[in-house]
Amino acid sequence: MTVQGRVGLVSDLTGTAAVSGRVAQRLFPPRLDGAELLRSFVEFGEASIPIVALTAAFTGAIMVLQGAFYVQQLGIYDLVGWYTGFATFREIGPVMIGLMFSGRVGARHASELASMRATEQLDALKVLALDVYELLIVPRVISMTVSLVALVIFGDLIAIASGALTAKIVLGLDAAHFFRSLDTALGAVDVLMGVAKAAAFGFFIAIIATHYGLNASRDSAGVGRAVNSQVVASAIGIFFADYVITVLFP
Amino acid sequence: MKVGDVIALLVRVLRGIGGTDHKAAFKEAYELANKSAFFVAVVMGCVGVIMTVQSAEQSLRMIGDLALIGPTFLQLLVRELAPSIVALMVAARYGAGAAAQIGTMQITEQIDALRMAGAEPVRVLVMPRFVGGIVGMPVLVVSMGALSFVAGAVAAHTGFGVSYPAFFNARMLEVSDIVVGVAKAVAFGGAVPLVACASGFAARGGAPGVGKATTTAVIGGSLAVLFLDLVIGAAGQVYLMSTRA
Repeated sequence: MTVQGRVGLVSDLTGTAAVSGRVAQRLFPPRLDGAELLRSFVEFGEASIPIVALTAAFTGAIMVLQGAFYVQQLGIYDLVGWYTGFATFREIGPVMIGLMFSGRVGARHASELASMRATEQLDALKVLALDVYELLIVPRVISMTVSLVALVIFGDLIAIASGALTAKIVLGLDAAHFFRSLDTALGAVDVLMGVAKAAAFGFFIAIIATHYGLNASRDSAGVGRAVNSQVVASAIGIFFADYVITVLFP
Repeated sequence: MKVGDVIALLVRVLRGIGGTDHKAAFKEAYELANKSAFFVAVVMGCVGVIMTVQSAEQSLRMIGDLALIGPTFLQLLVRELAPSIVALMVAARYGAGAAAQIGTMQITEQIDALRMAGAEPVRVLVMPRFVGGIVGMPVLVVSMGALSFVAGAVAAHTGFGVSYPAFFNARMLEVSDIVVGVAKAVAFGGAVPLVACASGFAARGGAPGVGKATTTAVIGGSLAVLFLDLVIGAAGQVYLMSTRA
């Protein structure tokens, strides 16, 4: 029995394209369940706040620690705020929080859809002539995209605060000094690039999770496999999208 | 699953570590490293290019010189990026897979069947994965770190005209970096399977339970990686700063 993630490239690419198409179809004009939209904002977005805060706090501290030795050796205390801010806003913030989001929210969405498939609830919906896209998928695609943007902005702030605290503890650097260096070297474009990445990652995670959830095999092993493949494919999606965005808009 | 469950499992594994089935452990190392190789290679290739492009752009803006991007990237890769990103990807692929497998066994009462047949589940299911992770993870980290460095070199050469000899330069790298990097790889290699197994054992109640166990394995494994990364990285920095200050 192989339960490891399998990514059949062609069928997964066509499958995710089909899901995106069906989602787009229901967005113009918007046909979706408002109650589910609100519910998923709470369960996917708000409920992820602790894990995002924890992840961001770790990464902010790790980033400052990694550079601390050079900062001390070369005396480049003016650059600490800049490198922490740049790395957080443009790369580490969206990527790390995106990965955690896919592990928590994307995985949950995939596993719920796969469980519904295993217990024939999706078939029941079809018999009742209800559209699972309107009821569940479109609201969740929207809430995942919007939530990840909000969570990345929130996580960025936590990571910066944690970096400033670590710089104070490890290097004895004043917070004012840290934030001055961050403020002079970075502009709105750095923050906006990260936010744009977050929106792209959130949308991809939602689409990929939907695809694997709807195509899971109908047993409990299939649910595990769907989650596994979803996390693997989302990680590839995040890094590949990041690569494309970085090369196109450096 | 709670942190205490993972620690309890670690204690039980360490107590019986001498009696690990070596053949099964190597099979798990193969499962963890070889079978993840393609997926991790795609990710680490992207990371190499992204990091090089970003650091080259920033170096041109802030310092005006590209001589250091190869050596600093190599150092960052060895002590931070290669172990942590490879381990996060292994948590997503191998960790989630192991949790799904053990979770399925748990809810279909196969774990109880093992116990009734006189086989200790920890010995059969956890110890090979733990040892296999410790063996397989460093191998994967070293090879994928090398791949990422080569990807970065190609990007620096084609995009910014940095010569290969200038990029392939290990003058920033020190023994302490290698020690920290290998220590992280070994620690992550033990932690990811352990968290995955613990969340698999904690699975309850049908198909949704398996999905939940799998999710917990990914999140728990990733947080364990970040936490250990911070602890080992801090220990390394404190050591360096106290000896060189």
